[in-house]
Amino acid sequence: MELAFDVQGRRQAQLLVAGANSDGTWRVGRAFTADIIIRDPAVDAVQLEFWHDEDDQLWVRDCASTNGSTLNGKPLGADARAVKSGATLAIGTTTLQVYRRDHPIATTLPTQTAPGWSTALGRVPVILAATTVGAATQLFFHYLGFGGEYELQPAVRELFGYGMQVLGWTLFWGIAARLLRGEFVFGPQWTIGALLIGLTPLLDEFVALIGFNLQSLTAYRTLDAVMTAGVLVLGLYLTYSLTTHFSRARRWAFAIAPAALLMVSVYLIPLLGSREPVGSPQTLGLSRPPSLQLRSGVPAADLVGRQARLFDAVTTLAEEDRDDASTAVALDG
Amino acid sequence: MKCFLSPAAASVRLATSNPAARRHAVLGLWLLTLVLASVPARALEGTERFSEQYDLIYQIRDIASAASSKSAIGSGFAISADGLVITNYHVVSNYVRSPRGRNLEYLDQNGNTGPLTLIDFDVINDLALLRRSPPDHGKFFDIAADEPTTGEIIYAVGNPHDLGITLVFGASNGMVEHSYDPQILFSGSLNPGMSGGPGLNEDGQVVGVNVATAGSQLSFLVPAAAVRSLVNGRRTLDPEEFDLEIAAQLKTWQRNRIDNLLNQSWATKALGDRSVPGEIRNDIQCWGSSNDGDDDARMRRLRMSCDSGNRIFIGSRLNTGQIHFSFDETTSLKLPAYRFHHMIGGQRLRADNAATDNDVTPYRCEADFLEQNDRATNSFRRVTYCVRAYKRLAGLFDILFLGEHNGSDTSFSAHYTLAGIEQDLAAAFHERFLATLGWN
Repeated sequence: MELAFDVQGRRQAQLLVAGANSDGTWRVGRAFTADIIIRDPAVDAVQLEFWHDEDDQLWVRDCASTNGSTLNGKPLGADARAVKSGATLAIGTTTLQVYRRDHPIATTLPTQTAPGWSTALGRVPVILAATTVGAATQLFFHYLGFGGEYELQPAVRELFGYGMQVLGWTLFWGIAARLLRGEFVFGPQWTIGALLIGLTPLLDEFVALIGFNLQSLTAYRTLDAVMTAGVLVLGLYLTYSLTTHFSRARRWAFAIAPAALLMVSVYLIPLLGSREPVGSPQTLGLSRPPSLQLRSGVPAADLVGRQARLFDAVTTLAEEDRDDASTAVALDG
Repeated sequence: MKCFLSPAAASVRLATSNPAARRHAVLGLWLLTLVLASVPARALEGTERFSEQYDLIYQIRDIASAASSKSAIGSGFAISADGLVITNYHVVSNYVRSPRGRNLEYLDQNGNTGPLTLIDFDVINDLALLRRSPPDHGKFFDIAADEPTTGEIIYAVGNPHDLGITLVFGASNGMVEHSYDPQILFSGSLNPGMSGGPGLNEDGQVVGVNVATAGSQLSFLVPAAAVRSLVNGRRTLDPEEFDLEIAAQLKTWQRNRIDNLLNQSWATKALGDRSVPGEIRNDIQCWGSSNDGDDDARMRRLRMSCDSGNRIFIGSRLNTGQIHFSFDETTSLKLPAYRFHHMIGGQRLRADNAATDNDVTPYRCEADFLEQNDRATNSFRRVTYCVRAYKRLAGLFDILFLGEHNGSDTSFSAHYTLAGIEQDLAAAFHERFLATLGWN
């Protein structure tokens, strides 16, 4: 059974068609995992639930929403109310008219194709499963696939990495699901976003190359800073403009979060110290100028002093370890 | 590649190998028997000659007290009337590295066992001196006064594969040519478990101690002189002092070795248009490679790698003492600068010695660009210097160095590893290395 929803809101004027989920329901709300997505901050993540019974009767109830809903002007509660084709519902600042597929208005719509699995793609368990598989694959290839040559890095770094992955996959599947359901409106921000994602590695390379050819570390550093700032600003704009269905405060929060995460990953986590694999290959990002710990060239004679500091640092580490070991022995004895 | 005759490793290999490999091992043993049987004159002569001395050869066992099961087996032999026994350091290394909860035991030809006490050791020559209690019946092996002459027959005796006393004979090929520490090259097949057993001359005197094999009838003996100096210079070590003693021995050895290296002029080799340090001493060997024959190559690669070959065994997962350096020169042939840089990017730097985080701290690295003297060349030099400290061997460090000189269509990188070295020696070596490259 398919339903058509005529959605009229401040930010949305759409006719959406959706087939029932496997449990015979349609969920309407702001969440991208909803079957009918309403771009209205006054609407709950899932505000309405429609379902049909064996007699093909259509029912609706309000899922304990914050701002409440009405059906044909009467308040709608948690109790099931029968819905006729053409009924009007009001949620938040949006009105919604529901039609069965055989209603004259709905028959003019194109036939919806394969709503089932595109809907499923946006479901949280599916996202979690996909993320788990992705993370497990990475874990396998990174740590186990090479005969245990690599040692595990600190838990904080690991957790952060997987957290970022979950976020990434969630966004990916969410966007894919909306795309497949034909609910996606391509605006300029998507073009910018796609270009940004596609071109970032290339731009990165070019910065390195330009910095290299300029033969000026200052120029390279400036270029790198401009690039980083540009990426952050674009990312901010992108996220802000894509979350129109959120309240203003949440839009800002969502826009700033990735930028903040990026800064944390680049600047703060290295400060916590990383446990490099011992006696195994060390990727030091050689050959290309490093973007963060860049300094002007030093005279060869100055290297000795810099290297002496390394000796002091590792000696302290080793001494701490010896102290720990002797304490353990003392306790043992 | 030299392999220690580690019985633990061998037994693991046998236990976990597939049936085919086990069949091969059995076949190998059978062939060994056949070979020994096919040379009856010498073998029998040897057996007759040394049979009474077999009582002076022990199996050395490292017993984990808690499990009271043997965890490592090697051979050892009586060297004095009052119960001194010689074996390899690596046979007792588990005990030296963690004496708590471990005991050393001997097993003689008559099946008697008894405790052994570790008196002293020499990690550089891989020797350990033990005392057997109660003392032996007064008989012991004499140490030969002279080094074996080339071609002299040596009988290596030991306990391979825990099968009982076995005698292997072969010729002495004199001292190993490219080695800093003297070792006798022996053309016999030493087997796991024979470690620490004596190498005897025709008169039944000890000329060396079985230590390692490189396979195919190439084995190594520690010369008797090292045994003599360990016995004569012995002092009784307390288990608390083991780590200090290992560190002290490594420091003395490394200081002499590096001082000697710094006091001579360094032979250079040509790598492309450059002159780089080459076989700077007899014990350092270099190998080169290039892709010159490949007409389709987009980059020309030249590589030279030099190694001291010394690996001082400290524990099952820790070896040290290496001097290793290598140079790579890559020239773009058909690649635009951008692609070229992409391809040579992300080089890996790796340590050439084995160590785990129980023994060493993580590497701490510092990457610096060297001051540009000549901007016109459109190139830069970058040096990455990494240090890690030994946790239990205070004052010793491992050093990794990578220097790069990259231009728009050429890339040159120089790498060295110094394992188990003190700070001042590392700094002196570094300065000399950069000077030889002309980077100072």
